[in-house]
Amino acid sequence: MRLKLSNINIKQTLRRSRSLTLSLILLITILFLGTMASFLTDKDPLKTGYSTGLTPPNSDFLMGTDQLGRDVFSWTIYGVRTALFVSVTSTTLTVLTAVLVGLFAGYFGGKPDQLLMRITDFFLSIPRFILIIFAVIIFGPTLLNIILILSIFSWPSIARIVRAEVFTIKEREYIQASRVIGASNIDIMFNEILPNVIPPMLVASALQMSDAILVEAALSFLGLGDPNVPSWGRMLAIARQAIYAGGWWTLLYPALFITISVLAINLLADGLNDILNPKTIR
Amino acid sequence: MEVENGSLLDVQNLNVTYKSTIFRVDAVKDVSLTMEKGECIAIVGESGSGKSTLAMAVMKLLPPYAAVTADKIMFNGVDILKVNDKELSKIRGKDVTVIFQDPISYLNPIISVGDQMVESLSSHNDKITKKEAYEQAIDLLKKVRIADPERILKMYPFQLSGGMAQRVFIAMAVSANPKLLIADEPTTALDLTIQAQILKLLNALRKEFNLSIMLITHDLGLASYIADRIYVMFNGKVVEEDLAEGIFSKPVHPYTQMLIASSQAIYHGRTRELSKTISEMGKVEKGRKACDFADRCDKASEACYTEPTLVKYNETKKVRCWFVE
Amino acid sequence: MNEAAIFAEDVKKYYTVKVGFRKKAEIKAVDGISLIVREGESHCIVGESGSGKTTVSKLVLGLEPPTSGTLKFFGEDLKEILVDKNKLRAFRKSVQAVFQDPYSSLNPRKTIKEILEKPFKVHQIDYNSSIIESLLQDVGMVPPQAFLDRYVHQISGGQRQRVCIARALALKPKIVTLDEPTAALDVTIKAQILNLLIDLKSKYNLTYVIISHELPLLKGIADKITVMYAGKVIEQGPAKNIFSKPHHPYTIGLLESIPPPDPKTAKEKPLPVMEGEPPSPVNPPPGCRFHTRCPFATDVCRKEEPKLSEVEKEHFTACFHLRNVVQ
Repeated sequence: MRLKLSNINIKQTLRRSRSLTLSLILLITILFLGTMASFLTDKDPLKTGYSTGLTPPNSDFLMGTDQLGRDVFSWTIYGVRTALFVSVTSTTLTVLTAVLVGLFAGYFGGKPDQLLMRITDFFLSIPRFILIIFAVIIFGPTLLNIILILSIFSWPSIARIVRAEVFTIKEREYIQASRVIGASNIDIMFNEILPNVIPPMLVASALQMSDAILVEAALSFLGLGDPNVPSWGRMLAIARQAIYAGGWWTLLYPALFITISVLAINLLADGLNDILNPKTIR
Repeated sequence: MEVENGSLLDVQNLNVTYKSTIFRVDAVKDVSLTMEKGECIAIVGESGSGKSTLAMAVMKLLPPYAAVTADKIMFNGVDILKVNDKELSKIRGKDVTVIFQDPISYLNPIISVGDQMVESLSSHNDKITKKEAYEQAIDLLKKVRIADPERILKMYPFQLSGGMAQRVFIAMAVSANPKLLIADEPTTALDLTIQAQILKLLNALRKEFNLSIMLITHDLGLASYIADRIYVMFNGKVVEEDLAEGIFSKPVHPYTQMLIASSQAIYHGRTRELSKTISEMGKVEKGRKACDFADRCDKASEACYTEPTLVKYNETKKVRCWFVE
Repeated sequence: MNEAAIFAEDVKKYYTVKVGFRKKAEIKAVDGISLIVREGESHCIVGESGSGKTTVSKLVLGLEPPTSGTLKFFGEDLKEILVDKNKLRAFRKSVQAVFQDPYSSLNPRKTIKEILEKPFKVHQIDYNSSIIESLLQDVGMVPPQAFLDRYVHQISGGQRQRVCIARALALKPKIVTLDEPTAALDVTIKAQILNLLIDLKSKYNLTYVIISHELPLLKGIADKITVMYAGKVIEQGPAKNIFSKPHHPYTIGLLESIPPPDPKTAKEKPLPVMEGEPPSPVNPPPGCRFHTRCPFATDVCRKEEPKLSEVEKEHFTACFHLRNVVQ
């Protein structure tokens, strides 16, 4: 189950993979802002009336306020927490489910595999975002619901990737060798096959994370986000009105954070792809 | 472009380096080789010796990340280093053809054998009609000893057996009357009896078409069956070259000796008699500038810390070793 | 009486494959073979692709049950072994395998040490580093400490095959199947691995089942040879006899198909060529399966299937025209 990174020279890797370096810088900055949010600002992101009406950025309000007097800066940096919380938890759930299902279906083939394929076909044939919207409307827009719904509708495509990987790996002779030794199916699946599935999964998980950020933002933009947490998407919805009064800052900062975080995670996926490719590990 | 005198192929000091951001491999180092018209040479070496790279480099068939340098590559009077891509591709399709280890993957899977052959025949000859090309394809398949060409022409590549696909590939290769056929491990993926068929076919075609063949192989048996001359490669360099008979009757380089001793011991079932010195590790700790073979060589000594050059041993033989008597 | 290590009688293995929509075909991979492997013997199974030799190795490893026929290991029926958990465990311990491709038979994400520890862990046998090291020593990887923490891509092809052999020996098996053990190796390494296998056989008291298409390679190691063609045994007997006096036209042709590594003999004695290709295992020809390529074939070969008959002591051949062929 362990992933051996010990034989990767970190300095060298960073020098080789520019995307990895850049992504780490961006991610660390964002994480810093998110975790330190309560030290960086004393304003409650959700509280209205800090100012009267739309205020442009100044020394008091670094990113200005919206038309109801909410502080855009604290909204944006507290928004990091929402975005990362949703994306990390939903991705973990998604990937765990996908790996388990993909591993079993790919390894055993036959009926379980057929079943998985039909389920994924079903999910993949309907636009995922529309399904998510319906589900959120039905079950209510709480953070937990959003995370669960996101995971439920995301695992099938990743499970398919896992299954395809398992399909090729299980035919390798070292799997047959383990069987000859007398290793059990569970042993073979988790100790022999899984380590070989992890590298492509890491890349897929990173992409899943950035996707989750986008979906959460989109839901909030449509008014289907959790109203009790500050979300970048909701600020964008607010900006829709503010922008006509010249309040560009309400649009710029949340949009910038969405872009940067998605970019950083995609670059991370790119970088992981570089270093996890066995041909480049020496 | 016919040149009456001179060799068919003359390569001097060829070097090939594979480069990428993360690695750099010198695959072929300082190799010179010549081929006369109608001659068959074999380039013999183990995996990683650079033998395939060498053959592909001669016709500039390597991917862009391979850097090829040479003092001279003359083929049939044409300077390969100077011709442009268009002329080069003309030479490749017509005067030089290549057959590979896994012909099926070099055939288009969704086009029938017949259509592929017709297309390749028409590409070399604009005047030919489809029907003529089809007739010609049948003729060619008969020449490579396929008994029922019409049936084969209707098939798709995946329906062919390995041996059949190699025959089809050879038929396409000889269709333009090439001067040089490069055969890169042409029988490695085939069964023994099929290998024998293909070998016999190549030998027959050689006479029929006055072909020169450059055979890339790890199997000394194949080399001795087909080749007039043999180049033995080790780690990107030619370590010994001679007439085939000379290589076997008087191998001089320790690596050649080891190769021949192992092959013959296996052939005769006498591996037990091989001396223990044939090993993966030798006496000399290999330094940067040492002879490449030093760490596997039982004759290695102080001198081998300096790299030997390829020197003339007799009329026909050249050897790269300090210990030539 | 001493029980045979492996006893196979009329073993068949058919696979069903889909051809097109809802159509099924049967591949007769192994179509009724019998053989006896005595303890301490090395029994080689020779044939070309499609002859069924790889299927035989899967059967011998108990990875798949035969479709019909009897397959016994030291007197115990494979069918019984496969349903009894304890028996299966013991069986897995006593029958081990070395595969053809040392590149794909070792998990690229594991170190040599992890790979060699695996058999002990699976069978919950105590082990320590000196046991692992002595295994490496036995297969000629010295000093063993230098290899323990390396990954598969950090060692050479020959060394990989040595690790595979060490893994097969870890549980002190009685039978080891070797599926083309040297086919993927360079010629100088081939000879070494072969010699290693011969040494280990006596050191560990092993019984070998070697699957190969490289006939000459087997001269030094084989006691018995079974020649297979299209799922059938066509010749079987002591290795010495098979090499010195083969009876079946296919065996003769196979032996002569190998170009000798010596230009003098190669050019003087041109390769005799056996025309045609092996038949499809889905639809084998009636009668003798070799008749489509056999220079001696007559009407009887096209209609009736020849049975194995004893031509010399313990040497069996299935051919109607033995007299003509030998002449």
